[in-house]
Amino acid sequence: MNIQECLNIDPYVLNKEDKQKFLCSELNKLTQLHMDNCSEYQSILKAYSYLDTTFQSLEEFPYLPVRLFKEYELKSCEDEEIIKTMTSSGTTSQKVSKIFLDKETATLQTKVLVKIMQNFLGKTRLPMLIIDTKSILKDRKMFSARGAGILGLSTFGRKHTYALNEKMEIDFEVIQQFLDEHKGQKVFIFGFTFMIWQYFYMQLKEKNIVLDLSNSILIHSGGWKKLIDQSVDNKTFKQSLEKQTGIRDIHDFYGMVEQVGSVFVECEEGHLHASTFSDVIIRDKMTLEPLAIGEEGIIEVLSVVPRSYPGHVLLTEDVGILRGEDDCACGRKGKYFTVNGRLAKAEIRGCSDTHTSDERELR
Amino acid sequence: MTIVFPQSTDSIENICIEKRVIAPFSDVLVDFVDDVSKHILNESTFKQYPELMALAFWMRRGHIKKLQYYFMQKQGTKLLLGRGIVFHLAPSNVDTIFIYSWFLSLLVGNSNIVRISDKKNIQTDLLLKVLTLILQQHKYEELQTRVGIIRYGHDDEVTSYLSRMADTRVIWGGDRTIEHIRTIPIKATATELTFADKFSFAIIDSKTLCEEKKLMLLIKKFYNDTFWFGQMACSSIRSIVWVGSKEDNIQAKNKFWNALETYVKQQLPEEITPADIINKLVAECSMAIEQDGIVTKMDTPYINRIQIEDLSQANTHLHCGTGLFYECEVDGLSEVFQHISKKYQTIAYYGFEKEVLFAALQQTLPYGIDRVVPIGKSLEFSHVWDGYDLFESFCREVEVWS
Repeated sequence: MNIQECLNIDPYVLNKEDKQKFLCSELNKLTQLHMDNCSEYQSILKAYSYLDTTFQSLEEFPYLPVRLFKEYELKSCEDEEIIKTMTSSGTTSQKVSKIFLDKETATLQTKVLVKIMQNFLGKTRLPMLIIDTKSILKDRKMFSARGAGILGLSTFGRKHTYALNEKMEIDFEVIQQFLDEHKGQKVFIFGFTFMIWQYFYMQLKEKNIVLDLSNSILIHSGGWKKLIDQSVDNKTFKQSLEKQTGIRDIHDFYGMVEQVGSVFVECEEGHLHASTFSDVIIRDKMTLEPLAIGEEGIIEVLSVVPRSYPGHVLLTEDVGILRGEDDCACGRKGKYFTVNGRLAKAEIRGCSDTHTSDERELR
Repeated sequence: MTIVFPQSTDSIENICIEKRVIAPFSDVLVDFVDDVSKHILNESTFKQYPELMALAFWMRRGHIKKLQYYFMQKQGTKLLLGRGIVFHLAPSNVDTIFIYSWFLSLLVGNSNIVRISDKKNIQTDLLLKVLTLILQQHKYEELQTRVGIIRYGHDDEVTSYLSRMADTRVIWGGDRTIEHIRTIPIKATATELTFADKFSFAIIDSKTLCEEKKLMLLIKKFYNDTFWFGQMACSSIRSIVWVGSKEDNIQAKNKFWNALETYVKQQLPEEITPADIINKLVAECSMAIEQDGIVTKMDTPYINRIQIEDLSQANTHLHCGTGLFYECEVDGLSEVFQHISKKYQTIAYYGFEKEVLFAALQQTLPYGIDRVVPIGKSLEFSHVWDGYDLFESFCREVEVWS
């Protein structure tokens, strides 16, 4: 199989053997490509004595820690070829990742995203309700991963309607109008996990308002950190939302700006799935050796999409558990897993930082 | 802001009132330090903290008497008296430094105000409990108006007030902290001591190591010098320079790292967390990018080795501690001193004679380096630190002419 052939079939049909063969061959090509075109990447391969190595299995590929993209501008293409620069979310004091896309990578990313999203949303574009404020797109200062995420997913819907006003309050009038207009049709709802909980669900609950969104599919992303702090897990999230809105078709998705093409959508069974174009390996938190199904470890992600920058094999700072491969009850092939959160931060040590560390804590 | 001792704000003002100093090494001072030591040594809860035990041993009467002897020798026929009020800004992450700093200043007769971070820390809390308990005793009445212990985070107003009162200000590092606090003025007559971010490395004579029969003794000492304080104290060993012929260096490195690996696998330093493992991976990649560092794979996640060309490539900013080692090789000792910046504090050595190192320093006259100690003593505190003799710095010399 090559990429073109994979783009012509459903993204969740390859079995383990075929998928490994496809990924291994593509990732070896990408490793060579980045080594030839990104001097920093070449230095790293050299440091680990990996120059001129052909890797036989996915576990053997050298991974870059995802934080490296915050420290260095890594690219494997000429500056003139860059058509899009993406940055990760982060507060002003934090460093952000910078990811550079050329035309080829951006096009491939779109194609892969389409394949994956169509598997869940169907081929026709649905009326789309976005649980956010429209001003997120206008305000250049606010425009970051959230804005980019909304824009990216907007292509899968039509009649884009924003459910929140500038004060982050639910605009009931707009929602009613939207629902009246699309009565009887399936609706696509998208938003960030925390925003949906904090500004949508909580307001509905406080105001004791029940909406009828039962004929809709909700896709959300952005991570669980803030919700875990409030002791809200995925199950609670789903049950609470169904009670207040009637939505039953709810899908989380996991991905990161540093690796285009890695979009892991949650299936009906509550598992995140790797498509043909990407994969996950769970590694031991201390030894970084690959772990078996059922063991919690650090998530490594692999994708055949990154061509303009060396982000095809990355070690994240997220923790998860591999749940199985090829045998999920939802019928999709490939590895499936769950994400448990982020790695705890390292303690600040040493004799430095009489003031600075405290400062950081206060902010 | 919390005032740990004494228990009211106007008492802090009391400390700041100009008053006579106490005679260096007076009985009341030595008794107090020894009392604190006894308390720590007798209390079983302290036993689990090796740094506190080391501190308690340092404070024992026997050792204080040695310090007194040193001080008297130094004084000779001169007159050394305390400067008055010393304001110490202690680091938040090495818990015992504030005691060393304060007690050295106390022993020569100064009043002291100690700023400790408000960050919660069991060891600091335990220490403060003992200190307040002993200070409250009637026999230490004279000290009660000469000690202030304050916990606060980032508060320029407090720092500014105390800086105006102090005769000596002591800032225990972080370069950025020092830079910031130096924008806050001190009295015209005041002096200042700063302890900046510094780095330390080991030199090992490969031939001696190859012939070493009791390697485990060295390994244990090396382990303590590196893994305590997460390898992030200024005097923690972070790089190793192997001195010898090519063959000896190869053989010594093999022997040493194998032994250390075996020892570390038994110790399993639990303070190293998965986040540290990721940090070390980032450091390896960054070192590859910035310094052409080459990674030597080990069988344990607790040790990460990066081969560099020479010490000038030992990028201190990228070093994250917790078992990360830069290493390079040289033919002879004189090469070691070619790349010594102001940022280097301690050389920990193995397989060299003290006299040889002394002569090498005299000959090469390096720009940096404050301290040369055998491996195993890197973290041992001394009254001479970062090139200052603290007794001298905490005193004024009074000249009496005839």
